[in-house]
Amino acid sequence: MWKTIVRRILILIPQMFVLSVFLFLLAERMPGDALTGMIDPTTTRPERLEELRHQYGFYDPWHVKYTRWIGNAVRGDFGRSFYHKLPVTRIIADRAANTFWLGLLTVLLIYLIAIPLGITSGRFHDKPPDRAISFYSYFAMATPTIVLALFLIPLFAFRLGWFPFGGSVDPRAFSQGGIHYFLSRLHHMLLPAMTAALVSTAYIIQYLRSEIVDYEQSDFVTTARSKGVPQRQIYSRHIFRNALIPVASFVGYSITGVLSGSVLLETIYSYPGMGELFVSSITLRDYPVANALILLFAVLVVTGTLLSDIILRIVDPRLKIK
Amino acid sequence: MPLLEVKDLKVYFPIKGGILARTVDHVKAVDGVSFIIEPGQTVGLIGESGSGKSTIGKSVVGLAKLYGGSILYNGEDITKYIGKNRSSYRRGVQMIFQDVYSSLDPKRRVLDLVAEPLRNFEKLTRAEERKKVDELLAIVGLGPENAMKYPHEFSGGQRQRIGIARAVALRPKLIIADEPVSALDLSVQAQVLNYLKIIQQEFRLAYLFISHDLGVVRFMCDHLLIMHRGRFVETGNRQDVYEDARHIYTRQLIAAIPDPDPDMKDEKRTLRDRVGKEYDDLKDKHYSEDGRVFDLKKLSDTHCVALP
Amino acid sequence: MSGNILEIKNLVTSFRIRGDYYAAVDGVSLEIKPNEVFAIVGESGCGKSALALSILRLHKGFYTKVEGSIFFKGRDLLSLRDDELNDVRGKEIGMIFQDPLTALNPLMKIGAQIEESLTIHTDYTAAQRAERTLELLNSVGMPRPGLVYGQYPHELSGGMRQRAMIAIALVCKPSVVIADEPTTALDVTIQAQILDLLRDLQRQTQSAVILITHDLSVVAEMAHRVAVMYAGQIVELADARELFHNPKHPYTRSLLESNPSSSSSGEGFLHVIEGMVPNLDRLPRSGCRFSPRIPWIPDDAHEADPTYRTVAPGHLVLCSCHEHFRFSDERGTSHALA
Repeated sequence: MWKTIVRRILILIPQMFVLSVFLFLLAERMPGDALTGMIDPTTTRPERLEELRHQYGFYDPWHVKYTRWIGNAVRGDFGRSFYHKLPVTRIIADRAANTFWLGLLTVLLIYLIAIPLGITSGRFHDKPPDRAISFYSYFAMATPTIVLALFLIPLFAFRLGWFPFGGSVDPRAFSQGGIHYFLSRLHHMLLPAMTAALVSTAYIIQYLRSEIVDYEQSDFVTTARSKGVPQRQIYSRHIFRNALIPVASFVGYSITGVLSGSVLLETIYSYPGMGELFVSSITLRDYPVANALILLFAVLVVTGTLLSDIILRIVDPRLKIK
Repeated sequence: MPLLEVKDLKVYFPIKGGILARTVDHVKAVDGVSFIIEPGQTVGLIGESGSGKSTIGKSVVGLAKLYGGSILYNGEDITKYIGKNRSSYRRGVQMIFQDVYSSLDPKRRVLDLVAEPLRNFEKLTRAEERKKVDELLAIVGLGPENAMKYPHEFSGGQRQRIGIARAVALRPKLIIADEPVSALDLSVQAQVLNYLKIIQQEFRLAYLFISHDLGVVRFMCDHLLIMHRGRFVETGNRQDVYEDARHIYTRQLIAAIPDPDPDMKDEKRTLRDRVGKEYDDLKDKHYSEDGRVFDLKKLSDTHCVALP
Repeated sequence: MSGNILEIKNLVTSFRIRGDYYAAVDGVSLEIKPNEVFAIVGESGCGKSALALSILRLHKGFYTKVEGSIFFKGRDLLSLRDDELNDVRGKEIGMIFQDPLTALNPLMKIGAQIEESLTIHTDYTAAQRAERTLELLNSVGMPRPGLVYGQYPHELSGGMRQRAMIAIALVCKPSVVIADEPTTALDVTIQAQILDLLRDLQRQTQSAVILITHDLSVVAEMAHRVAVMYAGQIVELADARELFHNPKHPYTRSLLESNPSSSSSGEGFLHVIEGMVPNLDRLPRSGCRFSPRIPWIPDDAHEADPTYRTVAPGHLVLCSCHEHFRFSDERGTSHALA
């Protein structure tokens, strides 16, 4: 298996190279730069602006700039943010932790909700529990995250006041530390995580349901019945195990979903994560940050896919390489 | 001049390995086989699953990449056309598949399915085309009313007959039939086999008849090629193979055919046990050290066997 | 019980198609004796598999109705609840299926799949279960049983998988084994090995085997008695030797005639049965069901309400038409195409 992993990582290198060049050129072509709008043109002489641009190396040929950028990037230095005046790595590191915890909670919630519902739905298909669950999942599939959020925020954050409607931690809890800090973090993450999870569960529920319904008709289930295996064990030993295999491998892919969802979600909930940072860095033309984030996203997406493959190879004996 | 001449055909499939997924070895699906098919002749290619028999069929119609060897059709080497559209060859050689249902587009009418090869090669008016399709359907015993139906409206045997009508549309000289009746019931199978014989007489067709069923092959074929591990172990006419098999593999294969006479069952069993023991005893003499089948040696004008 | 191990009485198995039930098995009665190989032969759609699955009620889906009675050891299996039937399934009646690749759970090791029946039906300890399983793997001729015990189905060849399937069916020493097309998915040489194995095991264990097949040659090799099915009914029942040497029913005779294995030379054409097996929802439900396929036999040769006639001891034939049956003509080109 390690050979496959190494091969996949080797393939990643040229992919990342092409992507980084593409990104870099795209960012270059964007109108304006970090100095536009940052410095009041009425108080600063244009000559001074030009001087600053020369100083930052804005007029170097693109390949020189790219080589400089990528050379540093490989050493973990993505430059300094034009806006925050801080090393990009440090800004992202703070945000990455937030997104990581939010993502982890989301994935956990997705599976905690989807697996029992999917199993119930498949086990009792075309009966009332399945009808109810199917209704829920079709509803969830049809609802965009933003609409759900716009419904949940007023209800839970304003009217009921159960959850905060922004931020990642309560400043008071921050100073108290320990368990208070942890609970406050969790409290802040629950509503956004729930929003993302509710929408994503639908696909897993429906997938799991159809897998279970298909497996009920499969030949090896007939064999199990011919052995006198009781109904409950038919499901627990034969059907669920087979049906859950592809679902287990979705864990990796859901990283992709969570990341792309984070851009919208974190903005709505003003949660200080990578998604929110990405949106703000684009509006601020802070392209050292934006570029670094896109590269990071790309690496994470590929890692997610790889993770799915690895999980699949672990849980499915048919894919084990001798 | 033979219609088809296959010389030292080799089809290898690469095995990828290592971090860079380079080819580390080959699966030798077909490892040096030669045979000829005369016009109007039926050659049977017999082997078990994985023996490479279907790969030979695919090579002849240009669906497999050759590793070595040559395929001559009417004396012309066609290997250089593999993957390309070479019309005279494409017209002359057609294929019939086992799973005909998956080879017929379910969204198209029988008329379009049967006319498709005609449209590719001949410019006919609509009326001429319809007339031709009706004629073709009549050859396989289907009335003209069937032309406007879809494949799912037919039974397995009828679909196989549509496949045959389509294959003979361009008046080919050679048809590769890959397990054409394996998926069919006995009575339907009989019907399809009869049609294959009738169109053979009508068009002076040659068949490469690929099958694992020795009963069917015996009924259909003049000349037999027995395949094992990508090579021929024995070739000969019906008499040579069924009455005078020399290679232990052929003998085992023939002993394995269940006999439709219940009085023979103990006799058959004794024969199978004896042949099975013989196979174990003589394995070293019939295969080289690395398990490879030897080259064919001529026993008579028709009969060849792979012995050292 | 008059010495029969299994008695099927007036079995009707119906499938629901567009809201209506159609009988795929339509009034079948059979008696299976201990220690015999009883073959049920017919083409696809004749109802033989529906019959086999009815015995243990293993039909897929929810659209099946099984009526009549199936007596086994003094109990009517069809009157049992599903959980009561589980005590018979795998323990007293074992089942072998056609395609051993799909019939084995891809995620369970071979050993575990065989032992599962023992876990359910016996109070063996884990060690005893493993011992019995290994012993059985040995007796079904599995090469390297110790290794195979811990392997998954995809690691085995087709023949080895079918041996594992046979071990699953036999592990609790059932008195009846139902084998549904056990060799159809296998190569010729493997088929011969599996048939020989089944016959040897049957002789050793003295269990009754119900063999479902479409292949007359397999019947000839294996069976003591044979029932020929057409359109949901048994049309002929006899000892194997009697059936092959003295077939009576037009359908049996036509089938034997169209077998290329019996026609040794490539001369001439094979016999073809006119028309085709009708779909389940279009089956003729009265009169002789085979009559549309032998239209040259006059209508008055058939019975209006066909009954079984005994033509020799133990040899039953449905309908009187066999007395007047002849093949339509000398087998020439015209008839060969039917």
